[in-house]
Amino acid sequence: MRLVSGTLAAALVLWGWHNGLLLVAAPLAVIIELPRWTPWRWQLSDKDFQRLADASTVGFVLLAAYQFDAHGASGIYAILRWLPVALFPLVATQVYSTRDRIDYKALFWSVRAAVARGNIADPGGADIRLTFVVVCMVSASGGAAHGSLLLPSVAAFTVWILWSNRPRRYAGAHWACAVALALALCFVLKAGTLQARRYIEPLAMAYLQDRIAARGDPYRAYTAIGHIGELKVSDRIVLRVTPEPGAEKPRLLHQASYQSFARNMWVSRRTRFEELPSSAVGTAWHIAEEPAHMASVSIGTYLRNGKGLLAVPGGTRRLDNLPVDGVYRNALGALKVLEGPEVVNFRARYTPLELTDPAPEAGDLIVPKAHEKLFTELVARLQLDVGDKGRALERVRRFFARNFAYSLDLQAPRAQATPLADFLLEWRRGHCEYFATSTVLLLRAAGIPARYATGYSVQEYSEIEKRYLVRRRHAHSWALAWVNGAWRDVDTTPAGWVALESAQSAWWQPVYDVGSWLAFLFAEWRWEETEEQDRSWMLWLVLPLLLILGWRMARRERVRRERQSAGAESTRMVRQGADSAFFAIEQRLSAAGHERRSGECASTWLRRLAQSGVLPGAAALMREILPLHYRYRFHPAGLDADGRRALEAAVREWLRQNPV
Amino acid sequence: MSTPDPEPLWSSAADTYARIRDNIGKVMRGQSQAVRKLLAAFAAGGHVLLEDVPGTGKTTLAKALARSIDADFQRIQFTPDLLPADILGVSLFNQREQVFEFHQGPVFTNILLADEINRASPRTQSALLEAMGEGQVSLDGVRRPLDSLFFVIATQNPIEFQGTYPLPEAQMDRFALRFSLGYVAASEEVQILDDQSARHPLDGLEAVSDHDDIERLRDAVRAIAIADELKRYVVDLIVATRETDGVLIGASPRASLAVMKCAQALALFDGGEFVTPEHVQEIAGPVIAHRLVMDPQARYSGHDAESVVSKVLDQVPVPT
Repeated sequence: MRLVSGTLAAALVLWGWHNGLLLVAAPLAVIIELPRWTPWRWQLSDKDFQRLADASTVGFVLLAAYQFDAHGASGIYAILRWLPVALFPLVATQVYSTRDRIDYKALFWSVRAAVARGNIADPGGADIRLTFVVVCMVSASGGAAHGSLLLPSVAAFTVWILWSNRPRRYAGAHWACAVALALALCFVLKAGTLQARRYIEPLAMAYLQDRIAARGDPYRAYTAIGHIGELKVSDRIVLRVTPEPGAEKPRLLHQASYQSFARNMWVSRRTRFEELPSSAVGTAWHIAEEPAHMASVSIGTYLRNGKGLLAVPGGTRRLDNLPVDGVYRNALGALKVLEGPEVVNFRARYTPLELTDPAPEAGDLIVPKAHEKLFTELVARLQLDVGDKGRALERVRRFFARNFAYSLDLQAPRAQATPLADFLLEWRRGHCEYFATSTVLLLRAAGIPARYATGYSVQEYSEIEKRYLVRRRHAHSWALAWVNGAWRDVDTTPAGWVALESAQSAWWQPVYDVGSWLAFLFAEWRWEETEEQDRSWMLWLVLPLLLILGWRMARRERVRRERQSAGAESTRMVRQGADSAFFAIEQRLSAAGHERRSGECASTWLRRLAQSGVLPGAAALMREILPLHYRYRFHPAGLDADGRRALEAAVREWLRQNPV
Repeated sequence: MSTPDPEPLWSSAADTYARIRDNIGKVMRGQSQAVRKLLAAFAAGGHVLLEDVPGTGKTTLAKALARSIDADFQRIQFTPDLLPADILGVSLFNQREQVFEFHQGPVFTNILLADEINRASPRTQSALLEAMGEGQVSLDGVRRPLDSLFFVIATQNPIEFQGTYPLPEAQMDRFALRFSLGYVAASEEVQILDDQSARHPLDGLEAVSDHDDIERLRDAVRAIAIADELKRYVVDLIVATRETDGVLIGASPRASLAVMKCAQALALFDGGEFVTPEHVQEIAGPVIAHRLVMDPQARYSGHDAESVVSKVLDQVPVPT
């Protein structure tokens, strides 16, 4: 298909207009059309094209990664939007090179491999300009700047391209009818597609919602109670905690609370999350009443896919510098964030001694039937039901502190005994989940509302980062007890657990820590501001590649373009008989859609047309006109005046007799 | 000084061509295109390699040409034990005279039929190199010129490989044209049976031209005009073969010369005074294809030299 001058620029402008990127499209349009006036071309080899195609592929992959990274699944629209920019280097190179097509070897790895294996000798090539035009149009459809004008403008542009390629042998009216029919069908199809979409979309959404809802409550805590063997813990750093200068660090970071214990698993049955109110800027979130004096701590953490549960100090009343779409809190105080960056470094303002968890309910006093006897006996033995609740709490603490030890080595339970009974009565050793679960159930049996809390213990100070690091192995669980009208943390796990778990750390942990820190700094820098921040860091990675490519291209041998016009040709070689009247016949036949092929001699061409029945007066042409024309063109003496007159007369006569 | 008017020259040359063509046509039924090519090479001063399966009339065509011209004719059957001296000649010591006497080989003739040339060793094949390229033989330090009419028609069978030696590239380049005869139409083949039922028509073939006629024919060919634009077209075609994928060695400038000379001959045969693009395109395939050295990978992929020439002819813009 022939592309008239300016088609590429027009396609770019169309794309830029619909995507609101005219400022990008305009310079690209100038660059792509500039070769029409430049006197030189790059002389590039197949290898150069292959390298460039590879670089374009890398650019496209980076673009895709960048867009998916920035926009998630909806990044596909952004990729569509920027597709012409990714393809632009390739088409620009074709336009600036001495070749009129790009080898398939450059475009397809499979062809390259097939050529290397010898399966294909000459894979040929393709003129990618038309592909680029189509890509621009498709990409324009992804834009919403002028939605209602999209179809008319793309249709007008397409008609323009088709007009310059219309088959000349058919009447213009026929062509116009065919195009009008195609356009009408196009508009009808678009309306139909919209209708179908309106019908299908709600159905699909309903189906998906049903599927997602059927998954149930994702918030439940599986414990290792009842497991056998040594617990393996990870050194991975999950939180970075920076208290205010001179202030005390929060000892525990609370992530979630659970109410019901069954089959060695804590469950939070009431999972309705409610959105917290935010400040005007959308980065500060109010949780509970804020007194005048609050401690504050900065917490850096990763959010997988921009969402997750936050670990915050108990008593947190406000979150600052948290650029997420929404913060939600459930009935047990867990904080969930949605649509945030991958890394956040927020500030939690809290009152250390006054937890803000919602008030207790009946469920906070339930001891599972399987454990009722065990804990009732224990309550009686420890005399927890006697005296005030504050003293009962102290007795529980003392009971665990004096009689129990921390261990990550889980033993096999006795027959016909629960793991908790084994822990409390036999082994007297276990990990934090045993202590926390036992404490919660013991307190509940004593009539004190209690919950099972999970989160992290803050204890490791990093001299490199000058802040506290919280690793996955610092994950901890403890009990929350409702005493004297307020929730209190009750951590009965012996203090030695920290040293025991630290002993499991690997020898290369310091190296890992430095790497982790650098990765965190990079991630933090990337996500420094809001979601709509400038994500140009990826472009900085691409820039050196582009510079190297540009440098290599600039160093290529440039050859002066050979002009195709007759005037320039005459400086190199005299084109005798260029004014032959025969060319008027050729012009007329070409205009009627019967162009002569590049390597086709005039007689071959005319014979072909005559055989296909589209050449009237073929005999006269072959017998009289062509010999005269050839003598004029290829005989050194050319035609004398009489001969030229005879040629012109014969041509005139032919043209008169054959108007089309 | 005035230049002689070429009109009578062309006229008599065209007449000579027509006589020879018709004479050969008595023997070679349905092979008018092959005869045209053979005579184009002959008139242009080039040599011809006929490549075809056995029995298609290669040797008959060569003999018919030789008999049509009142000129010397020699035939060499190439065999693996053929030696260069069997072609070029040998110096023997004459004991009576006490001198070396040179005994000319069959190469000292006007028309030489080198039958099944690929059966001889490359060394023997190469003995023809100087003779074909320069029209002379250098032996024992003595340069012996060949007759100006010296014309080689070599034949080879393309399907047999056992006991054959493919012609070296340098030798191939010495042949102006390579073409095949192919099978004739059934009706023509019936005619051949009729012709040979009593005796071979070759036996009754008489010379219709002599040495001078051929010299004039060659002069006339040289006088045929060719426009600069067409010369450029010829060179563009040759250059394009060197840049085509799958071609290890493209055509040489000798190929450009051969295309031009043969196109001039065709123009003369058509009664013209100048070459047209059609003449160039008609002769390009037989002149160029056998000179191309194809990449083995391309060959195995089904691409041959003929397809390269066709592609080049399709792609290089032809002047009109």
